[in-house]
Amino acid sequence: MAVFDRSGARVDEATPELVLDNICKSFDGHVAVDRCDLVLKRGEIVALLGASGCGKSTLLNMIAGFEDPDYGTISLHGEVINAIPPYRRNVAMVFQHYAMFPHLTVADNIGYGLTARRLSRAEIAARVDEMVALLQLGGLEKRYPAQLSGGQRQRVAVARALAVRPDMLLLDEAFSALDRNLREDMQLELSLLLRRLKVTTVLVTHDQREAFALADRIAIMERGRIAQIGTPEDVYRKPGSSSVLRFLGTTNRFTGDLSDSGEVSIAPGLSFAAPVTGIGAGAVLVDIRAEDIGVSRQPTALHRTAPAQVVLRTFLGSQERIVLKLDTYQVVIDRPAQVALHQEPLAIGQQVYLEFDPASCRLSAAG
Amino acid sequence: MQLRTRMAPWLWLTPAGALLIPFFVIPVLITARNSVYRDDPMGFLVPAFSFASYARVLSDSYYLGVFGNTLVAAAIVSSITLVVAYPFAWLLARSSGSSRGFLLWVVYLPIYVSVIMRVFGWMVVIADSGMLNQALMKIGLIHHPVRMINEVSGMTIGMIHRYLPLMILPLMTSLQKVDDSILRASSNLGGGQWFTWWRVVMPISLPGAVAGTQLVFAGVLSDYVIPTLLGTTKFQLLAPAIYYEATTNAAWALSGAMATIVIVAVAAFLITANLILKRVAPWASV
Repeated sequence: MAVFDRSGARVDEATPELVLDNICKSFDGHVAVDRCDLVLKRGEIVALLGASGCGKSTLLNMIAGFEDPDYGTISLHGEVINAIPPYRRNVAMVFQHYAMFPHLTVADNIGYGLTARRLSRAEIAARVDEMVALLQLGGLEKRYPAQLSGGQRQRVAVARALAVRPDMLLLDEAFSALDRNLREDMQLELSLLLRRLKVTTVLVTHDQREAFALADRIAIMERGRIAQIGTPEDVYRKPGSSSVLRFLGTTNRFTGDLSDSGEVSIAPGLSFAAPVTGIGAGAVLVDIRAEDIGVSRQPTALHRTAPAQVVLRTFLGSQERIVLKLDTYQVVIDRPAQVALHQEPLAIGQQVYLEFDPASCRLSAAG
Repeated sequence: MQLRTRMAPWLWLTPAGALLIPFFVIPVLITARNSVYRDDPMGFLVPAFSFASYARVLSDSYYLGVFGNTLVAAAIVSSITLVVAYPFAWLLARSSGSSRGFLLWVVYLPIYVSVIMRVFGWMVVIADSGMLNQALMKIGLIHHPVRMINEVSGMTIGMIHRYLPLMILPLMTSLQKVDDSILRASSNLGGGQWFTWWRVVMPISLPGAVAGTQLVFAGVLSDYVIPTLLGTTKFQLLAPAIYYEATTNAAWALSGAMATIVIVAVAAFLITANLILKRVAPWASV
């Protein structure tokens, strides 16, 4: 099926919707965004995930046009938009605290972008009704933002952004102001909606659950750079670096010693054959995810003596978290509640041995 | 017990009430009562009920002129302060830290200095041989000094200076509601600068503009010092006129009637402005 853009020109569906090419930006000598490349297909949802200060919001602001890149180009369906002011880019943003216009009703907030585009009253009313139905805001049209709940405000913010039929949607920490249950409901709902409408979306978040819940691909950002980009499974299962590994999920870090024979020892009585890494002998950092470690009441192949001690057990609903004291480390282990259910419960102070697949460890040179 | 809980909030008003009732409310009531008495050349103020003073004030062209002058002055001063205050209030609302502290200090400074001191300061500036005239002559804009002191122009300058803080502060409070993300949202949704000002900044600042205008307008209506020291008797304003009637003419009923009319006019103006604001900015009261 042929696709046409707003001017009626035929759009090649293979043309990427958004291309960021070598984007750099610094503020007062501090590098915020460093050589970022990103390509989004039409309808794709990409999450920029990272800790605060990693440059993800700056990158988003540059796509919206609120900041100018120092270097590099931003193209929207094949057209370089660096020089286009924000109000001429057809890119709509949902702001962190929604940035509602306090003096406008829900209907007028949703219609704001349509008024700016000089649509007729009838067209605006029709589009607003459509958005009200789409985001289930019926009955709230005449309310002011101050009279809405947080969840309702977020729906209005999304409706207002989608009303202009943007080429792209940008979500800036759009769920962070909601309570957890509401947040998860809204994430699910928005994920379904964006996929149904095939809205190309970039979302910025520091919350990996949010990135996993919404994104087709996740770009992990660190110190202004995109450290890794891939599907949620890829970045989680095959982290490209130990920092990516440590950012996603809960990870234990040990300082170990890699011998010439390729044996890694991380604590007295605990050593294993190192997976192939290309790291030379000496001090190494060993990262293992909490859910990749098992516990055993008997010595295991890699943990033969000097058992660990259970110091805490926490029930997390679908999971159980066990904290062990091993040598000088505090080891966090997550296991499905089902597994725990079929075993005799671990007692505090009980001595246990670790077991894990050495292939699930990530080794990096220390220091 | 129940009575105590119900009365408790009102008890907080006791100190203010103890001050305001004997020293403000009762004198105002006495003035209102005087206004329906009769001025008598022999007996001073005769307690004989009559609306004669009101009839005279509202029909005599001199008194009507005074009311007209005062309304015109209030309208001019409010409009000019609104225009002058707006950019300053915007800058204040957008600034933070030490620059904000400095700008606020600039706003408050005139309030700290006695109005008489400020008036004498303005006299030095706007006198015939004052700094302003000398500067204008030096740059060749004028060849003879322009008379400003004891003129409507000098009085207006003094009033603008006096009432500017009362316009800036409520405007600033309103404009602080226009944060960066709202401006960005407007731009993001396709609003250029003019559209954003007209559709977002201006409407959000409206309650502040109305509050500031109310304060300045009411202030000018009852200003005595500035019209007396910087103004002219050719353009008589209300407060000095009332003072003149009460002291020189000893016409307490007449001055009482004038004062009562001012109080009613100010109250009517404030209420009307609030009603209009409720219509044009219903969001501000939700």
